[in-house]
Amino acid sequence: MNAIVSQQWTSLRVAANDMFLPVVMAFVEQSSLALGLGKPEALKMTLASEELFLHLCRVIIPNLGMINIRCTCKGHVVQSDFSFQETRLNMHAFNLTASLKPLESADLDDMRLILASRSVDRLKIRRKRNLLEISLIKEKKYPHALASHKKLDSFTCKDYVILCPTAEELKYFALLTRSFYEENEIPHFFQYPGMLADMIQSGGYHAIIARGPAGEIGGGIVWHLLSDKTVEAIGPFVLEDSCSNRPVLNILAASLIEACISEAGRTSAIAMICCPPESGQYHEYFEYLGHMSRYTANGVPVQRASWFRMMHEDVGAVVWTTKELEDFLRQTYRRLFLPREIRMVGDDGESLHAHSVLSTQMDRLRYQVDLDILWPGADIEDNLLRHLHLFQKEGIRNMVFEIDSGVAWKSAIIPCLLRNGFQPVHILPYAGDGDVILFQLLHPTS
Amino acid sequence: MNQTLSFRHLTPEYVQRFEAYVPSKPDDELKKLFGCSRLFRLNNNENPLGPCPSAAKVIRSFAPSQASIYPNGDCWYLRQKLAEKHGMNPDQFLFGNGANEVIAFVIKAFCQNSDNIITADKTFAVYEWVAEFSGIETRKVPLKDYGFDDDEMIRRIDDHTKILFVCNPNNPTGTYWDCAKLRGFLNRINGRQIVVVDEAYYEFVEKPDFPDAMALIAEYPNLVVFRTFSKMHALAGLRIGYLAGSREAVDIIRRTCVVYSVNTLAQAAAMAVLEDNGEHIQHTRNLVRRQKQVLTEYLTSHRLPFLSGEGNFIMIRLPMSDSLAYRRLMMQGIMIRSMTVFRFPNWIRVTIALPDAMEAFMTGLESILTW
Repeated sequence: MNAIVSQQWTSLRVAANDMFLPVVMAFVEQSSLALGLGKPEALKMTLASEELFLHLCRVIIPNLGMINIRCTCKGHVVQSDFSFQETRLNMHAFNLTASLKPLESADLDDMRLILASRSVDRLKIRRKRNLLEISLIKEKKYPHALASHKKLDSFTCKDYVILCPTAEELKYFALLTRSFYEENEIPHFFQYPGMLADMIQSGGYHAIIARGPAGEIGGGIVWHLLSDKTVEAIGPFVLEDSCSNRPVLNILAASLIEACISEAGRTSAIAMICCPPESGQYHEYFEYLGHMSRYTANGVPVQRASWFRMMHEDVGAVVWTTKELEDFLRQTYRRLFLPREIRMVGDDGESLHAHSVLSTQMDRLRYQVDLDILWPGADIEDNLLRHLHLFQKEGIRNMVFEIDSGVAWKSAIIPCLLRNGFQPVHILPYAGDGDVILFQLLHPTS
Repeated sequence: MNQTLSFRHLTPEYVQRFEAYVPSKPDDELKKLFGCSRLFRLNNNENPLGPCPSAAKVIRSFAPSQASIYPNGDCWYLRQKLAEKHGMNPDQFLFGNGANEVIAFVIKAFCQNSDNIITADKTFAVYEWVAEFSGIETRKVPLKDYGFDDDEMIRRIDDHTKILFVCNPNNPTGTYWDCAKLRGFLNRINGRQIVVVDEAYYEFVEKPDFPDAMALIAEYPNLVVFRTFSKMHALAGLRIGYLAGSREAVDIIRRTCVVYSVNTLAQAAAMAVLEDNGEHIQHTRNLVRRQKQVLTEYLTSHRLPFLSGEGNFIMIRLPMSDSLAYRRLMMQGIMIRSMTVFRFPNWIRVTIALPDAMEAFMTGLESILTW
């Protein structure tokens, strides 16, 4: 199946003035429909855009700055990006918790960004060079794969080839995988074969399968660029009964991993992250990073291991941290044999902005939020607590804070994270300007 | 200035999507980074014996006053010498700042947008790189038994195919096409495309059936041969390599050749190499043969899969990530080439070097395997 990377997008440049609200709503709705969302999904995207645009006009850019709106089809999702120059902004209002009313008297209905997030599947607040961007992401609706109570025939052929699947093979692979693995072991898009096919066709994701001489499918693996420097492998999924719980890595799984690494080896990726579907001996190809708990809708924690490998020869990096995390980092880097220069950052009394800004990527489908700091400020502790409080009210169970250790001022908030219940889980080498340290809020109250 | 400039609108799409190669840091920086006091360079297939004595003498006697004068623009003396040596015309040779530069000459000379080149998927990467960042498609044919697959390469040819690149012997697998196979391939191509045979490791090969592609140029005007002074002749730091072909082919390639790119010292040292009596080559071959045997016996006894073909290197399959092996060996002052970027995950390539370096490598490997 070949990726079709076509330029499927629309754009609108508009002044931040609420008199243009009908224009923006019509633009987003018609774009969403044209880019493949169904009517109900397009309507929700439009509602989210309404909340977002009003918030931008009244709070973030009250002085009639310009907003660029770009709607893009990314295979299985439509994404609406609202971006603007970061000058002349009320930065504080860029937080997800920002409200039209004073903080002490505001309730959720005053928080237009959170209202916007309720209508879409994901909301991202990011800073891209000198631009700030808020993205609304809505998945297309796909029919759920038919429930497969009966386990499909397992693969026994040894004479297989590794290749890119056709669209039909890809969908059948998703169906087979569902019959061999538990639901929590496979990504949600395997429940929707059409979604998987669109993801691959868009070029954002890639897949290979093992095919026998009679066309039988023995397994597969999917990967995509998580960032400019990191590729994420999802799998391998092996459709052989005999491979389960083997002490050594199954040959077919090894073939899939090797092919995936070879394909990704000449991309921009410096590191590959892999979250395999089951516990196994992955030491041959990957290095163990650590485990992370993911809380399901019922609040049950599911442990998932993360593995990585470098795709290039390591050239070293500087890691900024505070003394509280020094031992953790030194032990981690010693265990991973990663040459790093650890430098301390501290509070030397320099002036700070009054207000901090947190970046959020909220994924309501997985009850997860990924946080990052966009702007340092004296109110970081209060700001963080407001966010945590909001997420708990919204039923978000998985809260992960990413600190890019290549940026000194970001690492300066590590003590604040630790004080408020976040614990370092593991690092992601080269996932940002430097290594990204993942902190997770343990046992969030439901 | 606070704003970040973007030149995206000026940049061709094929350049935007190309990922620049980042070379290793200088040795002293690497030693500091990995905390080691020594560094055995087993990553670039350099000749540990250095250049032959006559070339070494030329380098030592290079007068600083010559540095202010432009070099000869097209390596006139070297081309005369090669012509005399191979019974060809001086105009059948073109020099470049290392063989990498002549790869670019050939691709620029024959290819334009919508054209393609064909090579192997797991071979020297620069053919693919130059093509990709020039907007030319690279058709990568999987290796067959670790060697170039002639049938499949021919099958992949279409009306837009201009050049087929064959690395002989192949870097990194060390496999080679013998004379009969190369002739058969050229006969089947029948002059319709340019065939480049890269013989960077030619001087290391001792097999009697290994072809001298230079001798085939008279019969096949579409054949272009690459040679380098960087490997056996140990002039890698001076950057000098060349191509040879029929006068018709070279006349076209010369149009995309940037003259004056080979410096005076490199030309003088290369001339000394061409005039050498060949003893240095024999010494190097003896060293490579002996140390390869030592290393392959070690690998066999440790049941580590390896590929030991032609050339001054061996590929080894490790039961661990090659990039982890790189870091752990670097911490012991041993630099090898990790092969993921060559599309050989978990393989490393090791240059055959002096006994102390090979001993250090085997000790280092032992330590990371038993960890």
